[in-house]
Amino acid sequence: MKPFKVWLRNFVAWKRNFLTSLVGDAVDPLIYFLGFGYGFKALIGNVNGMDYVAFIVPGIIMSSAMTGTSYECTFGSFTRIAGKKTYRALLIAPIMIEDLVIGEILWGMTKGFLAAFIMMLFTIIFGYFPGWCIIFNILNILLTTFTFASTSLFFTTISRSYDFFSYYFTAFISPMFILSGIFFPINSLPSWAAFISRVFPLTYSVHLAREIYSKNLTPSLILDVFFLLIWGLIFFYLSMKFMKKRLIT
Amino acid sequence: METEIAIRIEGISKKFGELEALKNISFFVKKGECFGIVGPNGAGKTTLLNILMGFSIPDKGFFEVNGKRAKDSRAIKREIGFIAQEEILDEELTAFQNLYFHGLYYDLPKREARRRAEELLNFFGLTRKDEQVKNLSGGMKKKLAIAKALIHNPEILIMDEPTIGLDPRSRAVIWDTIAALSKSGKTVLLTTHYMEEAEKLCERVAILNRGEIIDIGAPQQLISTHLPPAVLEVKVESDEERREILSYIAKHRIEYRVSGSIFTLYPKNPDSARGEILLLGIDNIIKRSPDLEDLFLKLTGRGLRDEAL
Repeated sequence: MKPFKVWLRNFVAWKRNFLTSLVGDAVDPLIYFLGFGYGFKALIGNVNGMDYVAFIVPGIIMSSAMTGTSYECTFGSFTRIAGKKTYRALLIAPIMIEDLVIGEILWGMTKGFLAAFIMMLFTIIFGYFPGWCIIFNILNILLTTFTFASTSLFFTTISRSYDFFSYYFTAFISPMFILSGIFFPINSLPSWAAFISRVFPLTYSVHLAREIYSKNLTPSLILDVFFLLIWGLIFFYLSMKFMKKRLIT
Repeated sequence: METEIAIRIEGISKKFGELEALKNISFFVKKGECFGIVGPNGAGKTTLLNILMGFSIPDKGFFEVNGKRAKDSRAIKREIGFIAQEEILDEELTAFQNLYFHGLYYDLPKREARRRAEELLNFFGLTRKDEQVKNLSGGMKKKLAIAKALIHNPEILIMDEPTIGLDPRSRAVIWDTIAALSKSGKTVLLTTHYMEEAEKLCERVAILNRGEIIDIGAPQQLISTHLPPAVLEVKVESDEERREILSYIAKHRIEYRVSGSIFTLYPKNPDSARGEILLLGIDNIIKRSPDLEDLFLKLTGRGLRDEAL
């Protein structure tokens, strides 16, 4: 219950200007969707026998989940730790660091989920709808936001200033956006780049999403789920540990 | 006996690198008492409160709050209403939301949290309840912080420098509020570097200097134990007078401090000392009762405010 109260506090603080925030979350991936999808479609036509827009739709949705969550759990969380000292105000009450970390991760997941969900609605309007498999994709979005919320929050706990986040985004988030198989199959990359790509969690989200959209649900997809889950749990543990280190002297 | 103690602190030490912030601190606060920790900036006051709140872990020692041991930080926080120097208000929320959410954090049911929040806003005369906290004045913020600490109706209130940075009028209002809370039976532990505040509010004070407690007792009792019944303030008007008074002080081995042209003397026999100084030709002398400020200077050899250092 306690983490949910932290979540609710963030929700109420965000609610005041939610429209601005939602537009921000939605516009970016929408531009990629229109630009890459319809722009490149004319040049590319088909990938692996698939219409190019249909090829990128699942991955674009996952990238919204990634960026929505990552922004919240870096810039947003950092502001609450260091800028406005919101956490101090919370910790005076019987809220413990554990509650705080879980609440922040739930909130980051919510923001990423909203961004991905809006993106998904757009693609449905454009006619890309996976049918009942959408339930699996919603679960995939939730798992992806968990993975990125804990990774980003961990990074926040060790960051000294906002400047740190430019490393996080340029060295981690942006390459992942390009190299995780959203826009082209990973096996068209040189082998070393394909290897890097296989370490990125987004690759597994995108793979899952594409298989879900193709209604190709095979047991081997469990491996993608495990990769994301284990990655997320490791960073969840580290976030907890480093948040304590940061807030308790 | 055990039930009469609200806060017990035993042998707490804390180091930050080489700096010994607290050295073997022990004291207790009785139930219903208003207890002050008095000391200059950097004495270790805030470190001690951070330890009580679980924000900092002591290297040695232990403490209990209403019988709850230090390990159970969540249980301890339930016993305490904490008013920090700053950082206690959630700037992204309104005055009402600050109180309401704080109530929820203490597991008050929603309806009860709403009722308590309204009640406290009325009690403190905070009429702009839907105002963002960042738009409130300093005095209003402090009132809201106190209201927040009262949301779960704790028996114990801990305040870190409750009136620092407030204008004199707001300060008087906050003093009245603290006095009223103390009178209503709350246990109050406050830190301050305003001697006037400690004398006005606290039944007992601990004098903290460079991480050590120098003495503990009722303000008047401490003053009469350590200081003569009166002190002399001598204003010198020339270098010659300055030399005269310094040689007089040296000759009679009188304790003193000096601030600009004012010498404050703590002679064993103030009346005869006054007569002797008048005979030196220095006639700007005031005899007054010693206060906590004098005591602090005597015990620590330094001033409470930075400028006196």
